[in-house]
Amino acid sequence: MKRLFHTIYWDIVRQYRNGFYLVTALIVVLLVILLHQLSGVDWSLWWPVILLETLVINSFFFIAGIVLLEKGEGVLEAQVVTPLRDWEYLLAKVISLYILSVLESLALVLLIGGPNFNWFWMLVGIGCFVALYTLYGFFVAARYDSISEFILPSALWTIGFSIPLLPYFDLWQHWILYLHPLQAPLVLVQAAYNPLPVWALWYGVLYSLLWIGVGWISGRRTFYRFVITKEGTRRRRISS
Amino acid sequence: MNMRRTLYALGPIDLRSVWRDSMLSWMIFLPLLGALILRVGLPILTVRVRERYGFDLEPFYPVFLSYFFVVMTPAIFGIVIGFLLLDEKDDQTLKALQITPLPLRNYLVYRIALPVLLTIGMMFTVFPLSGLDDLSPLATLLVATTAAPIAPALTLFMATLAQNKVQGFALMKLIGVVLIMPVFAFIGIEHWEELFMIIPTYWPMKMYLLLTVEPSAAVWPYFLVAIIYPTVIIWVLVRRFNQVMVE
Repeated sequence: MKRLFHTIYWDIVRQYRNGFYLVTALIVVLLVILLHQLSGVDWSLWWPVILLETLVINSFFFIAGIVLLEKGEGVLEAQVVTPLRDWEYLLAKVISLYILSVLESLALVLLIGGPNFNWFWMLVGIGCFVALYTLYGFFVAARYDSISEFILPSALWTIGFSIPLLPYFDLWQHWILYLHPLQAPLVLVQAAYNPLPVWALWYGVLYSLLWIGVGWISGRRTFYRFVITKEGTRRRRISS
Repeated sequence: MNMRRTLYALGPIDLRSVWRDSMLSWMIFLPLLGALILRVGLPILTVRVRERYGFDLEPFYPVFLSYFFVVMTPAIFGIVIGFLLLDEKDDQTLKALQITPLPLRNYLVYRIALPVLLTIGMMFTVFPLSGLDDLSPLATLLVATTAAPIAPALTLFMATLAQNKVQGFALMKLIGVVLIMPVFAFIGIEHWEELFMIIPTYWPMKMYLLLTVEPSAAVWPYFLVAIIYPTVIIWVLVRRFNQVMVE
């Protein structure tokens, strides 16, 4: 446990030194000033959408940058021979990015929309988004050696992440959307603003946990395959 | 070592890499996919939003197109090449280049030429492909010329400000928010429009919007600023890039 807290602490320090917190503060200031100018917007309707899209960068892309840098610098290889377990490594990344994301999301939600929401469901919803994005970000990024290989396929993942937004615009309504892993955290953030039936809350929690579990097992296997046994690692190229 | 020799030295290596690696094909594929999604999706979306929220999106088409095509196409290219340079920085390739006869500045020009050419080519492809506007060839050329410098400006912005790829992602997030800001100037915060002039992408967007309203509009002031402003930024960043690499 002490080792896990120590790892989380250093993850946060590294994220701070790499400008994550500075950039987040700048973005919050810019967006608060900008969005305050728009009148007549029902923000409670749009927060689930905004969070689904903004947390992709905070979790999926940030974990990719961290993993690829640590891979390139040999930090990940070095960690294999330390007492730090692969699950501790992954959990520390999820928790540290969750702290960053909660600070950013709550600052935006409070300063733009006000405090009229259910904090419990908001925090749980953000947590499920971050856990899913971070674990699948690790799952995808660990397979590559460089950002230039990862960045464009990641665009397709990002398009896939946005599918649950289709019903928002009446573009597609179908029960099958409830099978999409991100539909569950989206429902949880909706629950922060509107009372939802009990079955919807159970669905939001349990279905998020199911896909977090899949991501967790896949992440640990990915760690073993691509970090420990270095399967599929190609010789670095001079150029792309 | 002049540019021609740089091209001879690096061209074959890159061509082989492109063959092996799908980056370039992805770079070409993504804007085309975006144009097709807009072509099919935007008219349907307009109908749905009108039915559901009683809001008409059609007057905002030019703003959407100016953001998605004129700004996002070069931005994606610029950011991808920026990450390519950060990869090369992280694995010491750029340091290794310094002991070769190839001057770093030539290498940089070579790297940022591709997104410029791709952007110009794409402008002539994505607008017709989306089928959502009817710009004349001359207007398209003006728009393409002003969109082109966005890519190298962003590439250099990332390569000079970020020390590694993790910082690159932090900058990418900031760039994303800053680039979407002028959109608000055109859809609801008109009283602040002058403030957004500080963002380089405001100028090509404004020029495009004027051309869609009036094909013979006097857009030259906007055209000139849209070219000169990013060129100055590129010039400053190239000097900084060389300093960063020498340190």
